[in-house]
Amino acid sequence: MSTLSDLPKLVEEESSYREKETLLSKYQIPIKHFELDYIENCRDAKEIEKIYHVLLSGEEGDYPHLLKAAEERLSHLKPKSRWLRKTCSVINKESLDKDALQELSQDLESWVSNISKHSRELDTRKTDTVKCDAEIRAPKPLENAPSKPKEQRISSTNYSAWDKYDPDTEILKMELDDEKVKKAALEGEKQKEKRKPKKAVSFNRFATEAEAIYVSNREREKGNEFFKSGDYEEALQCYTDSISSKPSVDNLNNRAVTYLKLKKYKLALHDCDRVLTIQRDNLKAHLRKGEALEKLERYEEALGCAEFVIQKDPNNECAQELAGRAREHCEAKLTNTRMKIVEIE
Amino acid sequence: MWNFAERKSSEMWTSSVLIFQLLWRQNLINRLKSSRMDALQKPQIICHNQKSLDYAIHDVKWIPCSAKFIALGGKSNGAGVVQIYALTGEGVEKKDEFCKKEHFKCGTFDASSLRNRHLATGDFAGRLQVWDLEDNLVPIYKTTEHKSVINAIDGVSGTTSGCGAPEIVTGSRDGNVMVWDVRQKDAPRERLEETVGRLLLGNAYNNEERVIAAGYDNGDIKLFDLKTMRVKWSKCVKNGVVGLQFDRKNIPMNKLVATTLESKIYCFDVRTQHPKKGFAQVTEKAHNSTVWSAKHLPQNREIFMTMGGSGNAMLMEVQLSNETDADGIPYGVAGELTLLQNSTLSDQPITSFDWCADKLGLSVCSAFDQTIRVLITTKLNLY
Repeated sequence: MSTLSDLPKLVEEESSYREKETLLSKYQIPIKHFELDYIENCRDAKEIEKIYHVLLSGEEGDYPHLLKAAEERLSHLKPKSRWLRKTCSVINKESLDKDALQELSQDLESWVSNISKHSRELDTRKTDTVKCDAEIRAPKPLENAPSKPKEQRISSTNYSAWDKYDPDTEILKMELDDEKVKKAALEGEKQKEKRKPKKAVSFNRFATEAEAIYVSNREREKGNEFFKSGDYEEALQCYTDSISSKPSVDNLNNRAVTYLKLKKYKLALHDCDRVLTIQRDNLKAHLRKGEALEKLERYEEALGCAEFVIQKDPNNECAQELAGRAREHCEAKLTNTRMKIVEIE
Repeated sequence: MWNFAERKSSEMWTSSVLIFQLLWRQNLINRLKSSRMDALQKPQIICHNQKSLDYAIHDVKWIPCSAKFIALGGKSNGAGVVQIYALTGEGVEKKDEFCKKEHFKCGTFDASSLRNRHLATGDFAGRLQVWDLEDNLVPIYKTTEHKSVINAIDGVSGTTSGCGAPEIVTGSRDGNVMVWDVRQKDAPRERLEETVGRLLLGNAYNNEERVIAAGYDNGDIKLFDLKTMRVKWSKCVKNGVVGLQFDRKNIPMNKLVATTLESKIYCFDVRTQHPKKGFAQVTEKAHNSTVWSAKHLPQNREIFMTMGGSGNAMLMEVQLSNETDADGIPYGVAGELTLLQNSTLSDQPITSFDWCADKLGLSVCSAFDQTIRVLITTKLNLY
C-alpha cells in the first residue's frame, strides 16, 4: 500500500520516465561559451538570449555572476528582448503616494459626477424605438470564393503533348497573369482613393446634449488617430463631424492644425478665430493662428500672435522660431521701403 | 630632484583618480536619473478596487456614457446572473442584479443607442437576448436559433450614425455564425456555417461595408465580407484562437489582433493587401500561457492590453506603416510590438477585460478567482 510519504518518490520515478530534453541540448550551445569572457565579448544577441535563458532556467545549476553578466550583455545588445521583460505586481492604492492618490481619486470623482449627469439625462429621454436610416439586410447565402480552375498537368509519359509544349509561351502567359494581378491591385487602390471623401453623415439629430458630447468626443479621438498616422483627409472628416455634433476648443484646435497640414491656411485661420471667441487666451490657437498668418504672408499679425504666446509661455520654442521668422520678414520689408526712398532721391 | 619628481607623479595619479571618480559619479547620477525618468514616463497599472463575487464571471462590460459596468456569469446552481456595479469615489457599489435560467456567456452594448443602452447577451443554451437593464423581467428581443452555447457576441453602429444598420453577430459552438437585426423579430439575417471560437464585427465605415472576423478552435481566422457575402480572407495560425479584435469598428479596417493558446499574439495589418505578400503580420510570444484576449484602447488604437493565463496584463504598443513595391502596389510593413507595462493582477487566468470609452485609462477585468478589479492605467495620454 502506498502512503503519503511515498508521494515524492512517485514523482521522482515519473520524472525519470519522461526524460526532458534540457535547454542546453535544445539550443546546442557549446559549454565553452558559458564563460564570463565569452559572454562579455559576444556580439550575437540571439546566442546571448539563449545563454541567458539556460542560466535563468537553473537546469545547469546556479551561476549568479554569469547570469548577471549575460543579463547586462543582453540589455546592451537587445534591450527589447522578451527575456528581459520584468513582471511587476499591480500597484495597490495603499502603496501610492498621498498626493498621487489624492490627485487620482479627485480626477476620478469629478469624472464620475460629470458622466453621471450625462447618464441621468440619457435615462430621462429613453426611447423604445430603434432609429436608423439603413435598411434591414436581406438574407443572402454565403458564396464561396471563386476557386481557380485547376490547370491540367501534362503527365510525364505523354510525349505528344510535351512536343507541343512551348516554354517561352508559358513564361509569357505567367508574366501576363502577373501583370493582370498587379493591374487589379492598382485599380483597387485607385477606387479606395475615390471612395474616401464620400462619407456624408447628418450629425444634427441628437435629442440630448450627452449624446452630442459622446459622439463629438469619439469622432475627435478617431480624428487624432488618423492625424497621427498621417491620413489628414480622414482626420479632417472626423474633426468636421465632431465639430458639427458639438464644437469645442479641442476639436476646433485640432481641425485648425489639420488645415495647416493640408495647406488650407484661410480655413485654419477661421477655426483659430472660433477658438479664440470661446477662450480668449488659448495659447495653441494663438500659435496656430500665427503660423497660418505667416503662410498667408501677413507677417506683422503673425508676429503679434507669436509675441502673445511668448509673453505667456517664454520657453515655447515654436513661438520663438515663428517670431524670429516673422521679424525677419518685417525687417526685410522695412529695408525694402528704405531702398526705394533712396532710389527716388 | 628625484624626490620632487616622484611626488609630482603621485599627485598626478591621485588627481586623475579624483577626476575619474567624479566622472563615474556623474555618470551614475545620469543613469539613475534616466532610469527614474523611464519609470515615471512609463504607464503604470493601478488596482483601484477589487471585489470578490460568489459566481463564475464570464464577461465584464462598461455601460456606455456612465460610470457603471456590468458583470455577467453563472452561479453554481446553474442560474445565470447579470450584476450592475457603479463606480463611486471610494469603491464599487452593487446597484442591481437579475438572475435567469441559464449561465450568461457574453454580452455587448455596441448595437444599441446611447438612449436605450440595451444589453445583448448570449447564454449557455444558445439564446440571444436583449435586455432593458431597468426593466429586466422579460427580454425585449430574443431568439433561440442557436442550439449550443454562444461563445462570442458583438454589435455594431449602435451609437454612431452613418455606419449602417445596428446589427448583432453571434458565434456558437453548434457551428453557426448568425447576424441579427433587432428591428426584425424572427429569423437571422445571415447564417454562416462554421464552428466558432471568437468573432467580432468591424470595417463598418459606411452604410454598405461590413466585415465579420471569426476565429476558430483549429486556428483559422476568417474575414467574411457581408456586402458581397464572401470569405474575404482566411489564414490558419498554429493554435486555437481565443481572442480577436479589430482596432476600430467604424473605420476602414486597419489592424486585427488575434490571441491564441500557447502564448502567441498575432497582429495583422489589414489595411493593405498585397496580391502576393498578403497582409503584413507581427507575431509575439508573451505571457507563457494562453493569451485570453487583446483589447484596444478606445482612445488610441495603437495601444492594446493583453490578458494572460498566468494572471498578468501586458500593455503593448504597435506601429504600422505602408510602403510601395517596384510596381507601385502598396504593401504593409509589419511594425514592432513594444511592451509598455507588464503587471501581475491575479494568480488565476484573467478572462475578460473592458476599457471604459469615456475615461482614458479606466478599465475593469475579471479572473477565474471570481474577482472583478477596477484598474487605472496612468500616463496613456503621453502616447
